[in-house]
Amino acid sequence: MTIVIVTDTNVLINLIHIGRLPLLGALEPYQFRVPREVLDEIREPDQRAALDAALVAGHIERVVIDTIEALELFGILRDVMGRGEAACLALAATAGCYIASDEKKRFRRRAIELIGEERILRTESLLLEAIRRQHISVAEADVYKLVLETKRYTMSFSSFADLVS
Amino acid sequence: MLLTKEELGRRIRSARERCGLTQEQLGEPAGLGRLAVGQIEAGTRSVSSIELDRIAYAVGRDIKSFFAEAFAEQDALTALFRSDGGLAEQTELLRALQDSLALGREMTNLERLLAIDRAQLPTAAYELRAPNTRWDAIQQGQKIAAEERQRLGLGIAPVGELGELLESQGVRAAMVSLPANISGLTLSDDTIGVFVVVSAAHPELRRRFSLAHEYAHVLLDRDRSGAISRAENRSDLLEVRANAFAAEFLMPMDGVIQFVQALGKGAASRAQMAVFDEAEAVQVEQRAAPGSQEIQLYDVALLAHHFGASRISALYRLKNLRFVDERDFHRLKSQEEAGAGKSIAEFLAAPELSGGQSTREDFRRRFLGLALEAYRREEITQSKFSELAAMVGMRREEVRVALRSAKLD
Repeated sequence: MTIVIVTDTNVLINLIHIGRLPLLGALEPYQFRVPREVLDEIREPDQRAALDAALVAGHIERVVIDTIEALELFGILRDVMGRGEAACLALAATAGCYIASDEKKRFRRRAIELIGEERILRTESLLLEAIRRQHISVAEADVYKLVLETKRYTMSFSSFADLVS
Repeated sequence: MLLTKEELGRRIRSARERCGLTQEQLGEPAGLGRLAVGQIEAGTRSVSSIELDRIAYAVGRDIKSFFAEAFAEQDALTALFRSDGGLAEQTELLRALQDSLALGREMTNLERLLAIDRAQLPTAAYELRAPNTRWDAIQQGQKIAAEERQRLGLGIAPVGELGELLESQGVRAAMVSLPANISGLTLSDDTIGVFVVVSAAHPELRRRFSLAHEYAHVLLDRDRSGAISRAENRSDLLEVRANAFAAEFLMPMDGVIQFVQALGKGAASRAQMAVFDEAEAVQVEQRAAPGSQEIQLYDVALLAHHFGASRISALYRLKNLRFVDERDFHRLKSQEEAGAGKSIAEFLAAPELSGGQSTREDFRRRFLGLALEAYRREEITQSKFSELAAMVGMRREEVRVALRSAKLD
């Protein structure tokens, strides 16, 4: 059964930083969908090129928020969060999807209220899934972890080996 | 109860029509053709979140307003459209209004998130009959300015930071790009509060005058919900009244008189007095030294500097208060226009702008301050903070640096 994951900007950018955006196309049964608002937030030319390539290759899919329920929630969420975040959360909450987002604090609190903690994935959750499906090794994932630390994204464990075992 | 697609479409159409926009005009910023807009309004086509966001911006609303239990057909923008039928054709002005409303709404939202009660900042209002003549309009404007100064405890002192003063009176003041013929505008409704906007293109002192002018509309014409101050309407009685208010508010008559007297000027060149001792009168005559009472350009520069006004408006004020006659006024005006005023002001270290911060800074400071606080209290996300900062011209990198400096990243 396909599991739809609405994907926020920060997760996409993290995967672009480590050059592994195509991983999203390999993590079955997950299907990664990206609202137009999120696509619009990625403007750096090299990041944009990687994103376009992933769209063309079908690793990620565009999604439109257009149900009345989702639009209403989108409007409410816009008071406290950015367009991309509001679009992801409105869709996940009204369509029963998962969400991939590294946002903390306000966003995470609201996301837990709306969809529950178990439906929120982070960059490390996706890398862990990739390890379990043997798309990447623990050593590679640990290198990615270090790369992301240089981009000011830190994970709260010392090695992916701690999570796998 | 969940809205139907048809009802959402009806509300979009109602908001569009009340703004006097055609389906093409609404569709353009939303990236939609006339046909698509027609289908959305008829409820036969879905509208996406991005399209609805842009539609809401175009009609000066936020998305939530379309889903409210009771849809408010009337708002600040529709009030302006009602008073100015050709607004939809003035693209630049329309854009400025849309930007202003978006800023006003976000400011209201930040205050709500931070539990700031604007009801504690009630804005004064004066009820006056409409002026009948220009003279009447001037008298009304001057009278209300004097009363407002008294109410604010300003006495005859210079006003200082006008943006801050307005804020303390429950009036938001911002600066956006306006068409060349528009100096400012006033908007007022429940979602944005009382909001005055002045032109970013005008020099600081002109903006200061415009702020005072718009403040007059806030105090006197708030029942109109919105007012646009256009150069071509400066002879309209309400505009004359607002200008008279601004002049008196920024340079109060008694303050100007005292300032001029402190320069040892402004007295008549020949004064006569009779001292009566119940039997006979003794005539006393005092003659000032020839030319000693004449106002010079450096006096104008000092007066302008003192009150934070332009030299030219100070000169007009002196003329209206009869400190200079028509001949001297033209002499001084020609000197000013030839650049002499600027040179003298520089020599006196009395530049026109007496240390005032710009209106943009006033508004931006408060807006960003509230946004930072909302972010620190985890009321908004970082992405929302970045969007808000972008609305007042901050770049992404500046936002990153600011958050890092505030230890909020």
